[in-house]
Amino acid sequence: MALIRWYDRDLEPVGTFDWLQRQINDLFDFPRFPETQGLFDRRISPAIDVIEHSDSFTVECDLPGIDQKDIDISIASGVLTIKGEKKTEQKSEKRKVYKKETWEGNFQRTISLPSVVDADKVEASFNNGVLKITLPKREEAKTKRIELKTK
Amino acid sequence: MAKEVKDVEVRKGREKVQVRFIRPYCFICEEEAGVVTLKLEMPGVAKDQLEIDVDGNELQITGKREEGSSEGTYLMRERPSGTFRQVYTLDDTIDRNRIEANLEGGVLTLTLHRRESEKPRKITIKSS
Repeated sequence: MALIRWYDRDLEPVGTFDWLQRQINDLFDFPRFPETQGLFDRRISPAIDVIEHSDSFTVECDLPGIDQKDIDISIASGVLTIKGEKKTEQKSEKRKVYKKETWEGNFQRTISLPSVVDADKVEASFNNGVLKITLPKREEAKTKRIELKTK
Repeated sequence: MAKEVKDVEVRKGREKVQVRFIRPYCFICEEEAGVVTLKLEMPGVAKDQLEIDVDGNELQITGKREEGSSEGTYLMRERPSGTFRQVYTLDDTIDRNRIEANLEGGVLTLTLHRRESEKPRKITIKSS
């Protein structure tokens, strides 16, 4: 499953130095915005949680200040894509901005799903700026309890 | 995100308890002269879990977010957990009695008005 962030931690010496340098760089890196690495022109990736239950997976994503109709969720060949746009309105041109830490624009998040997910039964809800997607597992993949018979 | 999370010791009765606070992302602007808009992104906070207090010169905002499900295993965990908290110091030009709050879609919008006496005004010279 390609759900966990990939870190290059090979034992070969060159890779280790690269990794060490990245760790040191991260110390001086104060991210204001969500990570902007990735493919596509939609470069902002909001933070997500993926939780596995015995009969389903839950994906939760923080999307504050985004209109429900601007969120687009799709599943194609085992890949879940959450994308959309965060819009902000400006009332007057005389506006003075004192501090801005929030982001706006296009965002996208893509995760590949394990094959046990039943794509036809996926449900999504959006409440208080948190998107929650429930991905049920197929019947045959659910954990089953086997009871011991006593003779 | 990790830099915005802070553990603070809080007194609960006799004991000291460690509470994890998240500082919400803010957007502060003055849309028109005299009206300051303060937006705080607090995803997952319901209306009844939000507290806004004005204590003297301090504006305290605390919002509890819904606890994640305790069962299940996390395959990926990027969202910070804890309570949102931010304290601002209000200066004397802000009218304490005219603060409006609105929570929508995980964004808290506070509208602060400047005191009438502090607004810029023109003084006309009377000709005698």
